[in-house]
Amino acid sequence: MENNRTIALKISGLNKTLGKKHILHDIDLEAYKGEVFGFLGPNGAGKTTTIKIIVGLLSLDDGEIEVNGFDIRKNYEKALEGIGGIVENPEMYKHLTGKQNLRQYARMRSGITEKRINEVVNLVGLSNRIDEKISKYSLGMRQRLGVAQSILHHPSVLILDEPTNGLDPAGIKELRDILKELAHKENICVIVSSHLMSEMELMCDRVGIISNGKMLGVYTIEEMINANKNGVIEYDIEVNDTEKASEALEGRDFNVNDMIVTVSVSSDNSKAEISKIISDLVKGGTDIYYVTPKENKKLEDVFIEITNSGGVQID
Amino acid sequence: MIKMFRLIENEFIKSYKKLSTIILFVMVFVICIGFTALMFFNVEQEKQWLGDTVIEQPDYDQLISDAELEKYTGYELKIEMFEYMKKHNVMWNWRYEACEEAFSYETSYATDEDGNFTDEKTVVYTYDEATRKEMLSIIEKNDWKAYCQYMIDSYKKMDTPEDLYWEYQYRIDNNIPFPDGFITNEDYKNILITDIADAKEMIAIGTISKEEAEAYKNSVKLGLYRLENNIAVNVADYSTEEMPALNIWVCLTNSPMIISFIGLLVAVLAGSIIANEFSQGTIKFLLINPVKRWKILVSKYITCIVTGYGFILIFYVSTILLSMLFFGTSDIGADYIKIVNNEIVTTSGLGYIFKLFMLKSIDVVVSVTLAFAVSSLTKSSGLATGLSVFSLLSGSAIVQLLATFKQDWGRYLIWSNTDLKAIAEGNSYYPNHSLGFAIIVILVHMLVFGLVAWDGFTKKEV
Repeated sequence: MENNRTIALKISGLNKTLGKKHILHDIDLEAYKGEVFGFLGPNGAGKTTTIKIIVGLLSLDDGEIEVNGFDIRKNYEKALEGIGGIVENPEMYKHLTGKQNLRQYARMRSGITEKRINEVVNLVGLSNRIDEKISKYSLGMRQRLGVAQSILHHPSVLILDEPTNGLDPAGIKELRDILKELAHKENICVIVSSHLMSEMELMCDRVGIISNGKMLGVYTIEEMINANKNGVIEYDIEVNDTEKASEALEGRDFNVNDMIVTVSVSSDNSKAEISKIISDLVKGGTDIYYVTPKENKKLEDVFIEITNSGGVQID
Repeated sequence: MIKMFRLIENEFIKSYKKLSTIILFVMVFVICIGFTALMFFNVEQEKQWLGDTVIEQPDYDQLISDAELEKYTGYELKIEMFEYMKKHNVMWNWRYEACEEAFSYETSYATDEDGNFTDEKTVVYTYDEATRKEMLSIIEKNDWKAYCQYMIDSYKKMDTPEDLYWEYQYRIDNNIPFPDGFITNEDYKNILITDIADAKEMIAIGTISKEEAEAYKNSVKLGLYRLENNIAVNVADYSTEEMPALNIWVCLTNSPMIISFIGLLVAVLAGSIIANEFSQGTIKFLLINPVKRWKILVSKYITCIVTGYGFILIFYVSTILLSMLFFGTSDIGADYIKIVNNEIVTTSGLGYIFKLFMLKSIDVVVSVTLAFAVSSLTKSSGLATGLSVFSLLSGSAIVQLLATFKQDWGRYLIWSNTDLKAIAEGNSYYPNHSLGFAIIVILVHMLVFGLVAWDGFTKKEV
């Protein structure tokens, strides 16, 4: 993937003013096929505006957007053929059934067969409820239908605005798996916006951070981890005997809390280190119940630090 | 092109699965049934009302007692005549006329021996005894042909133009007896004969203007054509002041006015077709597709117009079927016959009604386009539908008011120009109002509405 990157979406110098407010300032962005790209920013940062411009709901004042090499202004229909998406909430025609809604969408695209519709419905797990009217759907079900609708035509860029809104934890996990599969197996460029770092971390390969209408930077998840906290990763290890564990970990940076030992290791060489720690513990006669990296907290901190969100005013 | 069809298909599915659209359909049917039933009962009532004035015998006793009271010159002879009529059951028909002729008398002042007039009046029968006897025998034998022949002979003797006694000759030639009493409006042959005779008389007398003479000539020509071809019903009669036969065509020729209601109904659809996408939030779903916005706009407009004409067509067909059910099918094949440039032009009656429908359909187009434009501009279905309904209901009142106050600019308003039928027939509120002018004004308005809709929809940031 790293070597063979095809640009699916390219944004350069994007500016947008709504009314008197300058919402977006010189946004530059490149997203590749086969990756899940996270579009991260606090509320009001300009995520939805950017997405709306990409999918053609808003016009752009200045700058260029290319989808699969087609300029969105010069080659509108061609560019939009490559895009699928959900913007804000997945609104559907409530008096139609799920399937009728999908057929509406299918008629506006070319080459979507009934077989494809069924396939997608199956993928998002709505087969049993697809012939019910949308008015009977829960938000989660509509979210699933929205995903089905957005991938119906095999888009090369899939844009989902806050896709986990309204989904239960099982649904979130399922969605995450679906998106990862679409990106990594079907080579789609998936762009997901969110204001939750924890969510991004679990599904994205790269994260672009936007705040106050400015792109602050694009990082891989690893870069974000490494760029911060002086290259230290903490691991929680639950053991049966903390004293034995303390002996085995003599000389390392750790602390004990109840039956959990938290060890800090250098991020440069974290995998080798932790495997050495585990084998030391086992050799010392300690039973290990689990080992888990404690990244979450830190990434959230990174995010807040980068966006300086503590002081951001929503405008 | 295929893409456009698919977009229209989408719009149709969206609209027609909606309860409100189904209700609109039901309302078109209800209006249709209501209208035909109303027309039927109306016609029946009128028939009954006319039916009360059946052929009657004049009240001779009353006439006799009046004459006795007034004692005018020659009243004795009049009384004799009424007695005679009473005895022979003479009713209000040709026999009455014949009696009056036979018993006609002349009043003169008697002369004395020197040949000077005296104050004494003498009253004598106009005709000699032999002639009177002959006439009375015709009356007693009820021989209408002999009466006609007698009238012809007497007119000929006086060298009167043929046109004045055409009726008698025609009745003999075609064996059409006089009606037994009052001419009812079902008895088309006698009505036509009377009309033609009247018209011929007017032309023969010649104290009328050129245009009037032309009109009378046309009516003679048309009447003769109908008599020759046994055409009982002419649909053209139903749009004139004359009282034509009360049948299915009373209903059908009045039906185009219901199209205004269809305009109201379709305005509901046109007012919501854009606004609803915004209020439901589905506009995003619609616009993220690789379809240019103007194509979506056009597909929506086509959907509204097709629905409008669909309703009109449904209304046309079901009005015809329903009125056939109510009135029977006997007159449904009638033609619309008119004289254009001295030629008799025949079109089918149903075709003529269809033409009226199409002329009136301009109301629907205007109402739909207005609602559509407002819907696109304001994204408010209520405002769009409301404005359109207001325009339909009060538009003609507004232009009428302007015309009353001699505001000539009123002719440039859309409402002055939508009644194409009235304009074509020269019945516009404004003088010198031509059909071409009306069409141009309509087109300009449609163009402006269209541009407003276009601008409102394609430039809108969602």
